[in-house]
Amino acid sequence: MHGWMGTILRIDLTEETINKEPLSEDLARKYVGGAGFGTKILWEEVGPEVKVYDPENRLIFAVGPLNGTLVPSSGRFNIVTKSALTGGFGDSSVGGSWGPEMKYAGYDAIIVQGKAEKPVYVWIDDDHVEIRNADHLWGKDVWRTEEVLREEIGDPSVAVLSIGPAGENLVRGACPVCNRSRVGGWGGSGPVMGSKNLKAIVVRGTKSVTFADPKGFLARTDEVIKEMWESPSLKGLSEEGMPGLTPVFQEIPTGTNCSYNWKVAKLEDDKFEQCTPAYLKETQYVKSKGCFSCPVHCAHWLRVKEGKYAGTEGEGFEWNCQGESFKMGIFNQEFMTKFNNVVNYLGLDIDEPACSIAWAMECYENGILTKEDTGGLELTWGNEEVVLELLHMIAYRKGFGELLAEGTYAAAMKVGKGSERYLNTGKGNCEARWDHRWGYGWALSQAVSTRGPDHLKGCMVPEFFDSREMEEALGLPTNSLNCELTEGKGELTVYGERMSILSDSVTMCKFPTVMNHTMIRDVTWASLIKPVTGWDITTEEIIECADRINALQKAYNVRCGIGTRGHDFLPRRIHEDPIDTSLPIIPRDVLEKMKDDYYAARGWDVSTGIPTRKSLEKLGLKDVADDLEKQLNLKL
Amino acid sequence: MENRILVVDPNKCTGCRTCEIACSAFHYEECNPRKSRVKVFKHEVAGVDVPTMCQNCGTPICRSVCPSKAIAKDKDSGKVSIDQEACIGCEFCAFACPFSATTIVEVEGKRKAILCDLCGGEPKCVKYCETGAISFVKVDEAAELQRKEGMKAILYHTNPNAARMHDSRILAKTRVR
Repeated sequence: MHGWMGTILRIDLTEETINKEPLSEDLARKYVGGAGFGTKILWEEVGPEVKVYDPENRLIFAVGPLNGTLVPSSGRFNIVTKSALTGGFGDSSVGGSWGPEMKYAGYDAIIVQGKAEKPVYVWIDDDHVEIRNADHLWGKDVWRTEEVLREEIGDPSVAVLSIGPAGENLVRGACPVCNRSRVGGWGGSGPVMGSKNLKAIVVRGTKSVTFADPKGFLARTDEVIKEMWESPSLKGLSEEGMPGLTPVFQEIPTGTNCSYNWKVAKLEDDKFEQCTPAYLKETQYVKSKGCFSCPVHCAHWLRVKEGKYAGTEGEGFEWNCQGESFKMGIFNQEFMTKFNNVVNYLGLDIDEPACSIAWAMECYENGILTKEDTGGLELTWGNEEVVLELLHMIAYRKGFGELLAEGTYAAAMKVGKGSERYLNTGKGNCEARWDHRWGYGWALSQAVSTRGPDHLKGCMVPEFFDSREMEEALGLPTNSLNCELTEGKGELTVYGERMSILSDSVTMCKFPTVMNHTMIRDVTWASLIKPVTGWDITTEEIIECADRINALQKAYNVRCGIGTRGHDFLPRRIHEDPIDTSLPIIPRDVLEKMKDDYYAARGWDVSTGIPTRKSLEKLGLKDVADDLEKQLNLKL
Repeated sequence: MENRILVVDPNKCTGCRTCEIACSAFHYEECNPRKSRVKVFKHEVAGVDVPTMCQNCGTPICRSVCPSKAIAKDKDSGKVSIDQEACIGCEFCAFACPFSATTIVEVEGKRKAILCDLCGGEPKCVKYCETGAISFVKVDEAAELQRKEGMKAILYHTNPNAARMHDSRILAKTRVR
């Protein structure tokens, strides 16, 4: 099979067995790869009775047909598991070079199941797969683990994906990390890896990805690269990286640089000055860095030259570093570089712990949490030392960190006393940096996202452009890109979800695709998959794949009890607290109205938000409909 | 035709390794960095990335160590090449090259050493390098200087001690003419 390596690797840590299963063409054609494979395997193998930390939970690492090829930004892979944050579907798309290395080793997907008795790591050298003792690695941070493993294997070119102390200690916001700074955030997969006693997976691959029509493929790739650079916004992302978004967010009349736990959406002038990409470039920039096969190179190597963080250097500083710092009331980019490094070596997500610290800070401000609760920590806004200390306390579950390690939502439930008012979570997962109050499309797409409120699922970036021409080009209803109107948002969200799911399934980065004027999209993918695999795949077929994957993710959440209409909600603050810049709140009834539109556009039941039998059968998911009816005792 | 060489600028290299994939795609019609004639040295802790390929040394060390006399340097173009028929796949050249520029591949069950062939005058690594970290330039003093900088970076990060002790000697030998 061209484009695919043709093998799925299954590692059972309980039985200590390794199985290689052939990849069926049916699975590949119906679920594309990456997130699609993961979704299907998770649905088949992890039932609602399986708890997140049970050995029966799966960790599925998967790549798509375009991964490891010359297609720009195609070096990503996807981790799917039953999420430790939501208890439902969880996935993360990760950059770096681990995904392609796994593909070159000959695997389209790796399924890890069971639980090792003692800490282990897995060493994959092409066909040779071995479960090895990791006693000596347990307790080590991500960076040290990578160094030790490279030395142990005796090859600096191997790719290492590992968890740090946060994952070992089952911190809900922990993540697997590769290439020191490429993180599988938001999917809740780090603690699942820790619960399996799996410290790391090390891969070396020497096989080739082949093509059905190599000449056609290379010619088409050239065209795609050319088309991609025609987009002006990509150039900006390439030069400034994601910090370039801060001025864009500042320019929006209402602002969407949410700070102080979402109380404020626009930075004050002096703070904004310190947080511009130009200032970052001037003070810290060393050079650009890119993930495997990516010409966009949005990451930069940064070095702090002076001040108390002098000497701190590293890669991968992006908008989360800024946004999450803003949330905690910190506007110092030197701190952000340090903050980024700390979460990376601890193996923590950057969003979840920052979200919980920001929540705790607001509780502290309002007297709900006191110095007694925090063990003497002064949780005042902008207290950099305390934040860095607290991150370590979370990763090691020490003192006050123990409370936050269970995630923001669980912490608020435990503390009570009205602290729920300051929660910015949905489905148990934290919110990202964007403020939904600036646009109706954003609000809707975050509410209905399958892994908790998330800008990477609905990908409402086109809404920034508010252009009628773009609506026409993308086949969207007129005015659907106007962020001040509520019409057409259902269809817009469906469009965004399709592109996002396909990015994660062909495994391409969302930067040159849905995040960027949507230059590379369904049409392009169909035209690239064709010469790679030799299949006569059409745009309609690939859109159907996206809808199938999305419906299955939704069905999975329904089965886990977090997939109905009531679960598609936004935090209280979005509905009730207008912010400083006279930004309108999103009224609850408006969100409900938009949700109606979305479910209708999906062909789902509007009153419950659950996929109908008709919509599932249309996508060839009759067995899913049967299963849902049987297990949940309802009539679809 | 005037002689041209590949020179690299480590400060521009982002470490994305697109050059490696492009090289294998054009030589073998498949994507596999291990079959690439250009390799990116990555030092993730220091944040250093250096693309490296055959430097067409004036006195090629690979030629000196080759037991089957498969390696030759063309007098006119200065290009070093490996006779695939004569190569016995012993990997001596790979060990000897200070830049690890030779790649060992398996062709029809036999191991062979391969070297950058400049894609017949249109190097694909240059075409696909977005930042211009690899460029194909006329041989002159400036080019020689830039080439040395790239090579120094590789030597320094692969073996700092060797770099300190030997770089002047190795670099002296690697002049194209």
